[in-house]
Order: sequence, then C-alpha cells, then structure tokens
Amino acid sequence: MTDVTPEEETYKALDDQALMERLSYQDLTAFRTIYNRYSSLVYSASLRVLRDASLAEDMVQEIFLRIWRKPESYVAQRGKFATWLTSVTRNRAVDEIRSRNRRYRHETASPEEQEWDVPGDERDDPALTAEMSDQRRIILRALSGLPAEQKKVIELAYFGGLTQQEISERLKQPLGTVKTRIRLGMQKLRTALASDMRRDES
Amino acid sequence: MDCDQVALILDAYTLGASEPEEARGLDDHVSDCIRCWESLNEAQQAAAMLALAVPLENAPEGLEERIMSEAARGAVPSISVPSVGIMSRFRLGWPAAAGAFGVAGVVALALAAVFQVQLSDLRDENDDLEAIVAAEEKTVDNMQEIMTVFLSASDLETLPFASVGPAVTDASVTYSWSQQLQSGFILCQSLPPLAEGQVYQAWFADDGAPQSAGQFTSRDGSCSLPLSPGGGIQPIGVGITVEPEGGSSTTTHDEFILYTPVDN
Repeated sequence: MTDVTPEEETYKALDDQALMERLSYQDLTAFRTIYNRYSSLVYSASLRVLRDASLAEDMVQEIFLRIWRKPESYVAQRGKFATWLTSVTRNRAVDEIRSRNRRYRHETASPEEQEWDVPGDERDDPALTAEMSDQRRIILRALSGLPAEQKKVIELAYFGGLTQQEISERLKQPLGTVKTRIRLGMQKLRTALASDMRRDES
Repeated sequence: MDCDQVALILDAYTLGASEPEEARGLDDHVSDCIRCWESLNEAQQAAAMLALAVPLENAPEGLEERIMSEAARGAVPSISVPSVGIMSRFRLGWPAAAGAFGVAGVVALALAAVFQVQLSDLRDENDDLEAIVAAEEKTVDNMQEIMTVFLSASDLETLPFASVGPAVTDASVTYSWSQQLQSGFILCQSLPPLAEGQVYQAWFADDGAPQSAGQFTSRDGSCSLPLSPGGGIQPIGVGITVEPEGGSSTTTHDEFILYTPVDN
C-alpha cells in the first residue's frame, strides 16, 4: 500500500474549485490530485464513446493536459467541475470518433448491440468525492427507471454521437418514433433527477 | 422557431442529436428567449450527468506518470506556490489577502480587484481585446507576488467579528491577523448600507482609547481593508463603528457595532 504524505492528505481534502485555482500556479500536486480523483471517470467516459482502449487512453491524456495548460477554461459559475469535465470528455470523444468516421468499425459490438450497463451493484471509485458518488447514484437510479427503448436511443445519441436521423436508420425505426423516445426519455430523466436531488438534499 | 418548437427538440439538442438546421434555429431562438434559455440550461445539466453513469474502469497503469511528466516538462512556475494550508483559509481569493501587506498591499488589493473584474469582463468582450487582457494578466501576476509574502506567515489566523448592534447581525466580518508580521486585514460581507454622509471606521482597541485604523465605505456590503497597527500599539481587539464622513479622531459612540478580540 502506498504511503500517503500529509501534504497529499491536505490536497485530497480540497474541493475541485480550490484545486483548479491552484492549477493557475502550476501546482503539480493539485494536478495529480485532480487526476487521481477523476481519471477513472474520464477514461470510462472516453472508452464508452470511443470503444477503443488505446484511443481512450490518448483522450485521457489530451483532456488532462488541456486542463493543466488552460485551467481557466473551467468557469466555476457555470456549474460543477465534474459535470463540466465529463461533458468536455464526451464532446471531445464524439468529435474524435466523428472525425475518424469509424463509428461502427470497432472490434467491440456496435452501440445498438450493447446494453446500457446500469448494474445496481456497480463498483464505485473510492477516489471520487462523496458528492460525485451521490450524483452517480442519482443518475444510475434515474436511468434504471427508463424503458429500455428510451434508454437505447439516449445512449446512441449521447455516447454514439448519432443524430436522430442516424438513429432512425440504425434501428430501422421511424424518425418520429426516435424523436418521441428521446423526448420522453429525457423528460422522465429530468423529472427523476430533480426528484432524487430534492430527496438527497432533504 | 417558436417556444413550442424549441420544447420539441430541446432534448435532442442537448444530446447532440438534432440536425444542424434545427440546432441553428434553437440557437437563434434561445438567444432572445430567457424562458427557453433557462429550459435549455436545465436540460443541459441533465444531459451532462449522463456521462457520470458509465461503468467505471481504472485508467491504464503508467498513464498517470506519463501525464505528470508531460505536465512537469511544461511547468514554469512564475511565482512561489502559496502554502495550501494558508490558501485554503482564504476562499475569497488572493486579491483580498494582498491587503495585509502594508501600503503596498493597499495598492495591490485595489488594483488586483479592479483588474480581476476587468479581466473577467474583457474575456467576455471579444478577441480583439486579447492584447489588453494579456497586459492585465501580467499586472495581476505582479500583484500575486506581493500577496505571496503575506500568505507565507505561518501564524496567520482568522478571527470572526461579533456583532454588537442589531443592525449588523447579518454581516459576516473577519479579521485575519499575523502577530509575526504585525499585520492583518478585514474582510466583510453583507454590511448594512450607510446613510448619506456616513462611513465605517475601524479601530484598534488597547488599554487606552481606541486608535483609528482607517475608514471605508461599501456600495455592495463587502469590504477588504488592511489594518496594520503602528506606533507600538499592541492591539487587544479590533472594532468597527459608523462615523460621520471624513472619520473621527475618537469614537462617536460608546460601543463598537462589530468587534473581535486579538491575541497579541
């Protein structure tokens, strides 16, 4: 087991915003702390979109070095760091896969052949903050309440980077059906999230 | 595109699944419609949370050291990194902390606050102002160096003021003090507005009559005021009163409206 120094313990106790502020001082310990806190999340999100371990690894490196070089690109007033980070990761990964035009040429199964994977006993990452773990639990719980066909179109759009038209073609479903499923699915998700967050806060 | 049409494509848009033409129409509409803009923000928050739902896998071994090496290669710290223990106490940021470094601190504080605001505004303006922003950033960096000296004090402590009068019960005021440097500064929030012709005045209390430490006003209820006792004063406390414009040589009222004892 690796010994943790008192300095590392101090950094681990800092919140994301405090760590990001210290990146403007080019504080490598703060950077390492952020990496340890979020590397599994960034890697997993990248892998989910890119479906290629090597590409996902490159993506993690790109994302974290971008944070290191331009910490000011995160503006705290616009939302939580973790949400921003995962959005940046997802968007960048989708851009990458679109530019490579290799969406369905991976060795693994294509998105429509895969399940969402929302296991109830999924492991959590001990490096994640308690708040992040709570948010993960909330979104997983909200997703588990969606009908499979609605989860699937959301998955294809968000992680597959497909437009509604492309989803319609892939699933051989009418475009109107795809649009309705996305709309209903996301509406239910928003309602469930809002309800869960209120319950957690109380 | 109207609000009803936006509502129909909002979710696809936040997932990145709308067609380009739809996305442009939505962009145009929300730029003029606050209600749809708020709905969009809400939908974007929900969509962003989807990424948190992925099954977690550890990043490959060795990647951390590769990234750290790459980061360290490009790291050129321009100033000393402030102690994390001290920095974490000052969530109001370094511009406030700069105030405690005597007269230079006053200038630093004022300039830094102004430059920070200007910097933020300028970034939002347009790219043509990048050169100006760069100049402002350099000035901010210089201010940081001044502030770092104060933050290096190992005995820095933050003392909360207690309100004496009912008019200031909502105020949040602290005095950060270094006995070693014999310097400190007041930070306040939610001070009540002053009447016309009034100022706040800070005082050092010792065994004799309170000694004026400076006066200030606040438009938004906040303040950051450096207070460094001079003339051999060994303050046992710091107090704040409301005085006529121009300040007073002795306190007008018998009691401070806010007060904190100081360990000296």
